Amino acid sequence: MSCQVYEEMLSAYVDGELPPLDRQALEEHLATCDTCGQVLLELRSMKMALQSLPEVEPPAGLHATIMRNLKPRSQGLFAGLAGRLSGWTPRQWVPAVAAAMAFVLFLSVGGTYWYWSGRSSSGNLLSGMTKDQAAGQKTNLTTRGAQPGEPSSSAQFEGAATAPRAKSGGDAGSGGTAGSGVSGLAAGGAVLQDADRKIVRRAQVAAEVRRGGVKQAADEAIGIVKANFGYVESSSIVQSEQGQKEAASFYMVARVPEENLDKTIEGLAALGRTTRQDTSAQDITDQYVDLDARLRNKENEEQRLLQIMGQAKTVGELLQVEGELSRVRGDIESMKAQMQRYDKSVALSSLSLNITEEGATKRPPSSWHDVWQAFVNAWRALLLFVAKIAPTMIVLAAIAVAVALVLRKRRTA
Amino acid sequence: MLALSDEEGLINKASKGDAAAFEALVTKYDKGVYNLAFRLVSDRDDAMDIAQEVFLKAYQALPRFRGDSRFSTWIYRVCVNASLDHLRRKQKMASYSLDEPLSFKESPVTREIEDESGSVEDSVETKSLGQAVLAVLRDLEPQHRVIILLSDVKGYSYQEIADILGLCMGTVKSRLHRSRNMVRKLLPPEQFGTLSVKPDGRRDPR
Repeated sequence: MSCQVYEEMLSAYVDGELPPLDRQALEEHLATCDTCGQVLLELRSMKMALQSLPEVEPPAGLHATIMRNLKPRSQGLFAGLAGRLSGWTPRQWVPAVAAAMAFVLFLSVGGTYWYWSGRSSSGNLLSGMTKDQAAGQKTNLTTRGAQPGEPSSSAQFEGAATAPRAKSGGDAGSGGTAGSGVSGLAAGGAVLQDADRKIVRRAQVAAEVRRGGVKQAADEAIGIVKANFGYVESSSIVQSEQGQKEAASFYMVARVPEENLDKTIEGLAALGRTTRQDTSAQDITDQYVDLDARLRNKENEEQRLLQIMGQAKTVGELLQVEGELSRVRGDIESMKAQMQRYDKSVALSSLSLNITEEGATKRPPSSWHDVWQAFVNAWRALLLFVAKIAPTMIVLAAIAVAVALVLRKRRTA
Repeated sequence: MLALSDEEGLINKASKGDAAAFEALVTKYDKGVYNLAFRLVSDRDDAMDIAQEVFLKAYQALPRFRGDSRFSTWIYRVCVNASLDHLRRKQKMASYSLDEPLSFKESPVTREIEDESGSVEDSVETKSLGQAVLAVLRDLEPQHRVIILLSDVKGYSYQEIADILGLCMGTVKSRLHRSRNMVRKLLPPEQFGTLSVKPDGRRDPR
């Protein structure tokens, strides 16, 4: 070993802090090395010189001043806490601060991750839904979930319950269906075949076209609808600004004869890159049959009222019957209108189309904006979390402090 | 000198507010605390202030002294921290008064030496080795000064120094080695003249 190594041991040797093995090795070296011996001599004399320094006498007033300035201890909870914190050495609070920062970092990263994973899972949900709808279209019998303004789910359930019976053929002569009692008249007379089922079909198509091609695609789309004997209920072209670029989009709702719906969808899908294609089918057979039966009942009632009117003796009776008759006729009118709406929605499927420019709908998936947004969201979530948990934490902290105080009192006692 | 168990009793009483018990502790440690502070900051008035501060702080903090280290270690830790804080504050203030004709670092130090032992010039020639080492220490960084003072003047073991400074043993060992080498090289060679075992006076192997 070189002198360098031994020299580094000398300091500890002088202090008597060298482990026995090192000490032995060093002493052997010192026996042969004058250079290290000289260093040892110097170190030892330095230490001894400092050791033998006389102590300085403190000023006479020190003791008295200390005792005079002795203040009663601050007893407050926060004074104690602050005192304890200020009494921490860097070695104590550096890990504490580091731990706190690590926790915050963990929450940020976790929040960001959570945000991202949340996004991707919602995407899966969406595609799953689309698959579902495609299945519904294939069987043509699946009842769709209630849409706003549509008959309630119980009506759809009845529809589903009736379907197998209708399929089983014309042997069902029994009166009641799942509908109201009045409908027995119609249902008993005519059991519906599959072909007679009233199905309302809807479709949604979203497509992306190249930049600047929205107008042309819109014209083509309207052309396709017309070629399939449909018509456009409403349409709109919107120019919106996204960032620096202008983006155009086209939206329309069209009605197309049901038998041409699939052909129309195919045509529209060919306009550009299809980003979404949903179709749904809703079975309204039962509502339809029910309405039909009630309509016939009302028409019978009208006939009877007409007969009664012919037999009326007094003006009073006549007026009474006429009032009744006009009420019944009003009902009949509204039922017929409803019937027509049903017929129309069965005959003409509703088709909505959304055409957007390429790149207008989706951002680059990993842009910094998204990352920043995720970060902001994570912090927002964290703040919300802190705000929500604060009352609980205050209570818990109070309990913890109380317990700590009791324990300390017990220990010092 | 009080026995250890007596000291424990005093600490217990003092932590419950017994001023007389605390006074006994002050009597026992004020000299040591004052000396350490004085060696660290090299100014009598400042050392006095620091010593006061140390004991007042200690009195406030005594209930939290858990006895997992010795009381002397604990109070010297408070003293070292207070002294280093004081030096930092002074350094900051000195940097604010840069345009003053006399550099802050030299004036009080010089005066201190004069107070004790005449001028700087003859202190190097005629003073004891201990005085010369002290003079060199004053020019070192506080962290080097403090570790040499604790080890040599106070005679603490490495473990105790580690407790006082909040360092680990290895750091104490290596820092002491480095600090001592600094002092050794800054000392005028004449100080070791009488010690030299080599006729050519070569004394600094590397």
